[in-house]
Amino acid sequence: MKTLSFKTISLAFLLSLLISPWSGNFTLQATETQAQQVIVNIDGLSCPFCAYGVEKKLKILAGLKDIEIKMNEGQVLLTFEAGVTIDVDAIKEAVEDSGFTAREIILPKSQT
Amino acid sequence: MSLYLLGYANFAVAHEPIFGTGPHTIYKDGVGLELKYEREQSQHGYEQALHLHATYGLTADWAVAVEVPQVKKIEENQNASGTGDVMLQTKWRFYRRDYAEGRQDQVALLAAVKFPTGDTDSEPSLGSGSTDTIIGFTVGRESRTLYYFADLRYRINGENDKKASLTLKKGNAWLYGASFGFRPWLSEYWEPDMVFLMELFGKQQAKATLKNKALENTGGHTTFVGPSFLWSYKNWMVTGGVSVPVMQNLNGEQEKQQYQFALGIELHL
Repeated sequence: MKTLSFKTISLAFLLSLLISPWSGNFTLQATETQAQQVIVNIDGLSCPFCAYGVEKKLKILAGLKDIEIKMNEGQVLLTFEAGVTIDVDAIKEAVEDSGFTAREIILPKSQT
Repeated sequence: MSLYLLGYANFAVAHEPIFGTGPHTIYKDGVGLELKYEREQSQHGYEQALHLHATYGLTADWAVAVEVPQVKKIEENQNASGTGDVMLQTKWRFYRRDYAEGRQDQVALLAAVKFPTGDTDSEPSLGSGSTDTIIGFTVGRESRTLYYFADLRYRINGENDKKASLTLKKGNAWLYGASFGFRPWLSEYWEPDMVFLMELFGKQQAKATLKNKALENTGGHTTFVGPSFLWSYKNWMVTGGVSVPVMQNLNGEQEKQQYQFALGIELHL
């Protein structure tokens, strides 16, 4: 009985290890399909210290879930919650208030 | 010893020369706090100061700042310490052009007023005893790899009204600087970043006057050169540098300066 229960527990544990990453991916994919990603190409973005202002000003946008600054591409990736209407003027203003220029804002297809 | 560092009206924000200044401002509603240690060594003494510098961004192109120094001065057998002259500063970046490859060209006007808050009864004196005004401009070009800065300022020194019997007026001065910097490796936003600079800066000062009579052993022209660094991680920056005089053309008999050293930490909120 003891052996059986040990085997059962071990099998269950192994199965959970196998399933958990897959289920994690599934959850992530489900979220990603719902979230909306915006690409902002920023001119003048020369140093990471200055880019802190960009992060600070963009962070307050309504519905923003995540922000990623790519210095070497001069690009900021914004991830908005599903269903949020993306305010292009607010993005432009936030970048301007941080001391840079938003050259191009690429919206998800659902918002174009 | 001249109040060289304390009278220089540095107004550096972010990636700028640490002995001179540049056209950078802070983002709108941003607050910058800086603590900077400076030391100036001369032949028979030294002067050191710990500056607390707070900057606020009224807009992305217009910043105001206040600087409160804690000063310690040693000259031969005398020493004094306490709060020095408080300075209010403003910088207006009236030209900014951004380029796709991360390049930015900027020009800014700056102005500062230094108040006679430092003790003038101590020996040596911790303040100038006068209300002084500084106006000037600064230009900069920066990119992901290279930095160029230049500035020119004029300092109008007021009369020492704390010691009326002396009616001493320090000579007005031209202040200038030019710097070149480079980033040895490109870093991403979440990585530490390093920039090295080579700075040249100087001061051409007229003779001081006492009861409208020029004092022979005052004023002159000094030029310094030295390396500095800017290390940053997100909204934290550590700066440091040392400079030595390459030219000291001082009027009459005056003590010569040997080096200047600065080390600071800056935080943007």
